[in-house]
Amino acid sequence: MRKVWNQAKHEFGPIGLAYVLIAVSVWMLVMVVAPQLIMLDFSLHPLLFPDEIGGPKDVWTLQNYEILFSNRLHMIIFLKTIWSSLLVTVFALVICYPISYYIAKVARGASVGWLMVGLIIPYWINELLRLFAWQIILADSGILNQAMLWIGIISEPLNFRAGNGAVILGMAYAYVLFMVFPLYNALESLDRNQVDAARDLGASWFRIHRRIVIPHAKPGIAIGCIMTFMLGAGTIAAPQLLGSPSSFWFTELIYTNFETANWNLGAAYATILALLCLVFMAIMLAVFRVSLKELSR
Amino acid sequence: MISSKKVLKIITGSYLFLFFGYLFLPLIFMGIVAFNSSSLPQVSPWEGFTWHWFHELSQDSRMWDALTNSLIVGVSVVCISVPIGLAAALLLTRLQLKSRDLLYALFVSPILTPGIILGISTFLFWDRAFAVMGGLWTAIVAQSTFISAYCMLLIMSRIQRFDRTQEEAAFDLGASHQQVFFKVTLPFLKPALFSSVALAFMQSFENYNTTLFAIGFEQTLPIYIGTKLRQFISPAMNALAVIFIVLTILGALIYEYRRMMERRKEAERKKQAKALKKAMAVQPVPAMQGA
Amino acid sequence: MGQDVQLSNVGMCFDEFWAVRNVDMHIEAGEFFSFLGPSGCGKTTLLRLISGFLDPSEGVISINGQDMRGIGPNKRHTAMIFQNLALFPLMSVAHNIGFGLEIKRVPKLEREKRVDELLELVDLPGVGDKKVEDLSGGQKQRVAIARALAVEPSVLMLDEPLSALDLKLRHHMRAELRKIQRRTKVTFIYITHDQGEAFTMSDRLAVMSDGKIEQLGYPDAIYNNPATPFVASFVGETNTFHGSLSEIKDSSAIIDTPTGPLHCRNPQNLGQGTDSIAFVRPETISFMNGAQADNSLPCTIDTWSFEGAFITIQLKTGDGKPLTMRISNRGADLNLEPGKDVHVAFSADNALLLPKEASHA
Repeated sequence: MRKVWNQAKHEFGPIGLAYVLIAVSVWMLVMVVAPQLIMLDFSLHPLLFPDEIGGPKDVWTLQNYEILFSNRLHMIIFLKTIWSSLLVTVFALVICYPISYYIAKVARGASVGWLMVGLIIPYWINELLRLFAWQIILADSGILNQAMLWIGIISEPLNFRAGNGAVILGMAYAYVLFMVFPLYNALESLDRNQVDAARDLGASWFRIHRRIVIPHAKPGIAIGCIMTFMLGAGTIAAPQLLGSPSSFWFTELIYTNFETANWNLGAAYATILALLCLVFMAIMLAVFRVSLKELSR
Repeated sequence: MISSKKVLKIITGSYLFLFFGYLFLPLIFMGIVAFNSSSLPQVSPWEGFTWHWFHELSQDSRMWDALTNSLIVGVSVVCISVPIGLAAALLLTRLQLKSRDLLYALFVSPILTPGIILGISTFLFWDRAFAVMGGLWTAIVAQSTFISAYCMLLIMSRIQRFDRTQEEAAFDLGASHQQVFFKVTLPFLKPALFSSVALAFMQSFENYNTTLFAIGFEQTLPIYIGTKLRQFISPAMNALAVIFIVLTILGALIYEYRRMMERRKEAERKKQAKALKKAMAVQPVPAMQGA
Repeated sequence: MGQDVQLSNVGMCFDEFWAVRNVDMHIEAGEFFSFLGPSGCGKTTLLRLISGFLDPSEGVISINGQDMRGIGPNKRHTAMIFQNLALFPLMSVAHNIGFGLEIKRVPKLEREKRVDELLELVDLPGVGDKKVEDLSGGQKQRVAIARALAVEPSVLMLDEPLSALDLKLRHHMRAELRKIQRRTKVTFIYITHDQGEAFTMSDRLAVMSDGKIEQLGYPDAIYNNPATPFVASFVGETNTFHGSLSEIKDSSAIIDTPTGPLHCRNPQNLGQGTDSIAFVRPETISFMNGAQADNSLPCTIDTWSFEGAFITIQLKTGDGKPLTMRISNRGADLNLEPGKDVHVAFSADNALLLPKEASHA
């Protein structure tokens, strides 16, 4: 410990060291760790009237967490969130893998630049607007209904937004590109000669990808899946914009609790959501045997 | 053989077409609506071209208030996140810590946490610890928690390419720690710092999920848009979307153009340097032979 | 003007590993001094200790009589030329050279004048506006030298600065460095693993191994009278004969080796029965010409190679031990054939006897 301290002083000088330490500890302690602990603390206390706080009812309890397991509707919503986030993640992986491979290893010259611009533009556009675009497509008088009416598949406009489909479609659209860039980064470092050599040896297209490309892309796949799942499970914009009053999402459940001033239950559900993402991340990292360090590439 | 290659080409081509169609068609439809006179946000029936929705948008004072708030929040987030990201990057790259991996995981954790959690926890923390109600300040802090981590990653990737002996050389030539940092290290990091500023501002300007929970009754532009889109949809929102998209496209084009120019300049300089070295080789080391 | 450097019992320990130990020596003001040793011998650590990047775990370093403890590199009158040169890539050549002066707040006009003088000194007039990366390897080298000299250091330290250059340029830069050192009279401390560099440039040098100074002295003394088996085998080429000292005769001694008894010089006055090694340089061995010799060995020619001015011959002694000899080419046909039996000889003076236990090998 002493040695690290001496090295740090040597490395940054007194003023530099003060800057680094203050900036990082304010960030980590005041902005990250303490708020999470406070949230946890809220989640472990019952909802009380202001005059009851500090009184005999102000005890540590798991009752907020128990509500999730006792309330069947909430449980269904929770499972739906997991299920649809997984669906979106798989969908994103399937449609982004080819494009990432194509840009990283097949396309050459100027077309790489243009393809990248083509990805960056929708990636940079606000997620709300990306969801809004689907609102317009899926509306009762939206383009999809009109097209289908015109072709004659349907005779009455369909209410796409009644179920969960619209939300999932929107999520897939809004977060698909968070898969592309990690995949692209991982694939870019793949030596093209490896692929050529394998092809020379007569390996099939499928085999080349299974044996060479995908193992190399593992870190990108893991990070991309973690990001996409986290964004999908954590989105409130998608259900707010594309969901119907009848289809409630877990994030909306949390939001409603804050709106109705039940911060304690809201905090408990938020903690559950955070744990869900943590568990998913741990599983991905373990399955793909990668470390978080890959994120910096 | 040739035919299988052709098949592959057709498959690749149609995949690319479908992929980019999927990405862009919804945006294009959304854009078209902004110019349709129909008061319902729809592409058809087409009731004639109009700028009316842009005009309506410009009359909305709440939009302007939200935009002002967004700018305030964005600039503040930049001022907080970039220095924090720099400090964290320096800490991780400069010290030989045994707990480096753990610290790294801790530092990137805000990126991997759902945005709403950051908003909620920041909101609760400031309410409980300092009795500060949700507002612009809590939104700024909540956004900065994860935007700092993005800045850190950007800066780190540049620091890792830095040759530390340059700092030692400057130190050896009499510079103090601060002088070394400001004259040698910082100029090297400048490109990464600029991109961090741009990234931090954009991330802040676009943020919805985190802000929604942290901001209380105030509105940034995305919150304003979100509220509008949940109530009744007016094509004025499409007009706003068009403005956003146009700005984004401009940004992306400028970004790509600058990258291209940079690459070209680099190639040019390399060519010149090569020519210079060649010229030097023809007349080997003048004036020194007598030494 | 140069200043002297005194190292008193200096040691440096990293995590229980002693990179440098018990270094006790003095470098004269205005001297060109080299540390020579294989990689990992501690010479770079020593250089970093003198320049102040490291604080010694024990002992004291003083420059010009002043104790340097607690004084950082930026406060010492030393300048370093790094192995990779560490030029600032974002600054022009002139800005690089003027950096130290800028730090010292030298006014701009004076700074520019000084930079021009320095560019002149290192024979690079007119390249001040160029970018560093547009220079050739040799030019960068000279910019680094000019940058270090700009702060008028009393001691200039050079960390294998020539290792990245090609052979021809390296030879040229040796002469150049020596010339600059004579002109500026700055104390140069040079570290290298290349003995050619150390011998041609240095006034004095120290051979290092395993964190310790093996021998310190003038180049010819080190070559001709190595003090330890390590120096004898690291500096130049040599043949070794292991054996036990059997007899002492005035100034010489006889050791029994598997090849036979050898008459040797015994400068360290080793006692009878000492396990010792005799070192014989290839160029001191010659073919028997009938005259009496201290040592003569029957050998068989194994291979030989013609190197222009020299011919190097690989022999095998009677007991099968390989032996290298080198003779100068006088143009005569030596009639060398692999497998031919010959007699070779060397004098006792050219067989240096050193004790075995000091060996690090």
